[in-house]
Amino acid sequence: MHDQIRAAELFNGLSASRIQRLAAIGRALTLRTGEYLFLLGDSAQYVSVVTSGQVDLCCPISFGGVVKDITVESVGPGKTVGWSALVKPFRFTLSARAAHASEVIAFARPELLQVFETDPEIERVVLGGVSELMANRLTMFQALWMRELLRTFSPGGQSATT
Amino acid sequence: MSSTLILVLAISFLFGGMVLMLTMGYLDTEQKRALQARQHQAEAAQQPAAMVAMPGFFAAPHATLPSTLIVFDDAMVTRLEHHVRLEQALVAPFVHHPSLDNLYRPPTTPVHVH
Repeated sequence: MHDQIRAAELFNGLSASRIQRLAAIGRALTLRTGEYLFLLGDSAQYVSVVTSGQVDLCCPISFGGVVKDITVESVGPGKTVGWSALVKPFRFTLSARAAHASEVIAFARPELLQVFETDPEIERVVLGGVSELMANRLTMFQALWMRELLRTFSPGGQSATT
Repeated sequence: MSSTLILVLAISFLFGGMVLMLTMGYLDTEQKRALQARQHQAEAAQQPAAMVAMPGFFAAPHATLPSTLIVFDDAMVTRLEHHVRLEQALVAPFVHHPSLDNLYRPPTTPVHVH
């Protein structure tokens, strides 16, 4: 687990001793193909890093009384899922489903916060990583939304850069 | 005397004609305005209906089929996911380096979708 945590983007640059502290609170989970790690709207208690396989972040779309999950992002080894566990209101905003048999290491918020209290360097690195994830997500949706606005209001309903 | 009367009648006829033309012109303009307003209202009413007719997750759907003809099956899910990936690939340069150019510049190379 030590090596897998060290390879995780969220813990990039932390010393071996700090990785060891995180390993002590991490819980390895195995997901079967199609199994959900969490659902949109669930209380977010764990932030996880993918160690093998692939986890799809999905948005449920309802149409004609049928609800199906649409994958909006796929994350592989080293990537983070469930950062909502570290940000109010602590609710997942997407669902996470294993695209293949996958493994993740989950970190419970209370335990992670305890580590943060005793080691501000871990807190700085982790929250910096979470901020970057959030900024990327925000920027992506901002760009998508602006393209959508263009399409909606441009004559003929198509933007110039499709 | 009679020439004055004729002049007055002619001026009255001319003035009356002008007033009549102006009135008719005004009425015609108002009718056109009302027609345009009704058309705008009809278009505005159709717009939300078109937007909810199909789950256009990020973008207006390419096909504008009536919702009753669309089955939300796995093929539709695949199409939606492909569309989302394509859109994400198009905005990726903006995410990595936000700028006006990257937001609106068409892709110079074919978009690669994983």
